[in-house]
Amino acid sequence: MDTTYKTNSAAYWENLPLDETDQDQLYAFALSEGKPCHLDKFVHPIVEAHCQRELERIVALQKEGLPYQPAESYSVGQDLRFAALGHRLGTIKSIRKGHNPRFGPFTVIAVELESPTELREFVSDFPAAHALNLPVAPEDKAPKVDTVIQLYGQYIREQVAEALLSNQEFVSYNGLWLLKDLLLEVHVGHLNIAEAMIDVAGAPIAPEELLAEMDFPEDADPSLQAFSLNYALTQDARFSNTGTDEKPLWHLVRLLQEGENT
Amino acid sequence: MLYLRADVNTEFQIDWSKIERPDLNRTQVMEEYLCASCREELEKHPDSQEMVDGVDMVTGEVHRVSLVHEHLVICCSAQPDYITPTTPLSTALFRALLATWNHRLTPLELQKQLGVRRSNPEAILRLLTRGPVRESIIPVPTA
Repeated sequence: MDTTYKTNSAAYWENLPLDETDQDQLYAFALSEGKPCHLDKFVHPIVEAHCQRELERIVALQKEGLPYQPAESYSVGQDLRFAALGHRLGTIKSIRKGHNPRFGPFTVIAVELESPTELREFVSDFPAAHALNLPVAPEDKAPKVDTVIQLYGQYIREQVAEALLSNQEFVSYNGLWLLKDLLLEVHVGHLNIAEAMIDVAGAPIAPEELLAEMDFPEDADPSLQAFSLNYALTQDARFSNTGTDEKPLWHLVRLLQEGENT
Repeated sequence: MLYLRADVNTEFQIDWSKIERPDLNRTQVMEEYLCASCREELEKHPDSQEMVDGVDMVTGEVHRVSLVHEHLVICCSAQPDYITPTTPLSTALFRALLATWNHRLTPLELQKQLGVRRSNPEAILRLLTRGPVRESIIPVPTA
């Protein structure tokens, strides 16, 4: 992959704190999905947005300075843009004859690069084939979103998880995330029904069974119904999950305590 | 002495001043790493220490190096026995830096050179800052 794209490197994603623009991206994605989503699903829109921003930056950069190509002839004072060095700009300070028995005659330009300022030498009037002589559209060298996720997903997931945790507009249950505003209303009546059902059964009950007695909107996504109920039950001190996060079984704390006392 | 707290993004480079002696120069060190074909070719060359303009075929950058170093980069480092899975890591790091014109590389970049199965950036950093190789490969402060 082309190393001039910063999104191509582990260092970029490892050190990436997601900012307000990213938070907006997460919000927009969650809103468009409209149902609970696993953390992994939030990664794609973030990566896509970062890659797109970088492509736009590079396209804008390409409009500044003549692109450096080894086969070309140059003169002192010319400004060049070095695509293989992150599109850094530089000014030619001097030109000398090159020497390498492997190639025919060529020249060497001494270039003062910007950011940081340093003097480096590059080949010019180069007779041999060189990849930089072929003009490539920036889109062709841009990293693919799926490839970035495959290579650096572990770092990005950590950053996204942190961003979701710190955003009070999101709630989470069992590795799924949902906008708080999208939660179905689980009111005190629903919770009382759940309590009564468990009380009568004298045993923990799965959320699917509880949901059958709730009057949630019929067209509401089943995953949204389950998430909303499970989340509400975790927020109510009366209830305790005696199963797992993947397969919860809701019991009453009161009954558990009574069971311990007998 | 400049104190540099290194991490996996710190650049490292071979410091030849720590290796060369009156009876041992860098060209002689590098000759040990030549492939058979380049060794034979350079034995016929009147002056293997001749300085040439090595050309980086990715960036176009020119590195003023000896003919031996140029052959290492262009040919020998691409051979399968240049760095093998059993090459000691410290040697592998040294060879990896030679293969990239002794251009500054971070532990993250060195891991890419060696392959992700060979090591991880943290282990490479540990070796570069605490192992014997720290005598010859030094961190380079960024501008």
